[in-house]
Amino acid sequence: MSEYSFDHLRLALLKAGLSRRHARRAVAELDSHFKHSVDDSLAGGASLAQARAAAHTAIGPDDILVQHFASRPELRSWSCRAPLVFFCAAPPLGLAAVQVGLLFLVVAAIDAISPHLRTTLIAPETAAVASVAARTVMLWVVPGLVSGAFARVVYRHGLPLRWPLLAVGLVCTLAGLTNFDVEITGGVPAGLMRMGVGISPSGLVDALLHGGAIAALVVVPLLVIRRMSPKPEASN
Amino acid sequence: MERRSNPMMAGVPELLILRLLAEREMYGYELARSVRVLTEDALSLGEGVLYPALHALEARRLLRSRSARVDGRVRVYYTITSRGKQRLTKLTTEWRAVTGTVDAVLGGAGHV
Repeated sequence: MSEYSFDHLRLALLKAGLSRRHARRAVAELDSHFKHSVDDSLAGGASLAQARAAAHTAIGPDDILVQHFASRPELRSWSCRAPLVFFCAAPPLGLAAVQVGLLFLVVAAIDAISPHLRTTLIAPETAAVASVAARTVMLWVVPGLVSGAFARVVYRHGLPLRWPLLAVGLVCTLAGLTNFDVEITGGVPAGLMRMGVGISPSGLVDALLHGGAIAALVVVPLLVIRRMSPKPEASN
Repeated sequence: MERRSNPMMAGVPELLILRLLAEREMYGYELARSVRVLTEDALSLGEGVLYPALHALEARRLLRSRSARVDGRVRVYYTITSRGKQRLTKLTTEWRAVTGTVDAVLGGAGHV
């Protein structure tokens, strides 16, 4: 019924630091309020144009609405309320959570296929491919996605660039220092699938190169997107 | 109270919202309309005040909310919590104390 789009209001609320949950709900409520207001005006004899104009006037300009919401600290996301704590603690925890979740999946897969490993021949090439794939996912894809998720949070809320750099730096350093290996064998007398994971400071140069490469894959697109987008208003 | 920021009215939206929701659960538009009707348009809770206040009260666990889709529209119904009822009692007491004191001064001003 309404031609008025609240999507730009949602984006403005997010840029002002509001949490995604509050921004989404505020927009849904205001949209509903707008429609109710139009209905009431129509029932009172106003034309559709008058009813819409009155509803717009009642809701008021977006910047005032955003100011009212932004003035409530309890509605702001944790990344805006306490960015230092959030971006120091959440990235390592997020990376660890995803990696541990994947490890559980691999363990479940081992349980599921272990009876078949005895009778299945696995070519060394296949085992090598599986090992490389697992390492790539665990040490490149997962850290890249976790870093990207935090970079997205920063972009959404228009926070200063130092916060994604901190988050990406932490995740990529941890990823660079992490070792992960999967080995699959099969056949007689007994096939097996084993896995090792650990953090080792040896080979620091390799670790830094690894971390730096992931960081570049995340930070460069973020910088390009920020440059191409309208300048966000820093809310912090 | 809406877009005229009157410092004397600070805290009034919270009091009104808690008081109305102590009667029954309501959604935002219903609350705004109830305030207008009950005060005979003397007060109105503007959207810019109402929704941030509702969200903040919920974040402080004074209200609880649930979403429902009615006629294709999202309605977020708010209910007062036990903590909200305690807050309402406190605010009501404070409001009566303040208005009583001010009334006494205004009533007695001519006798000074």
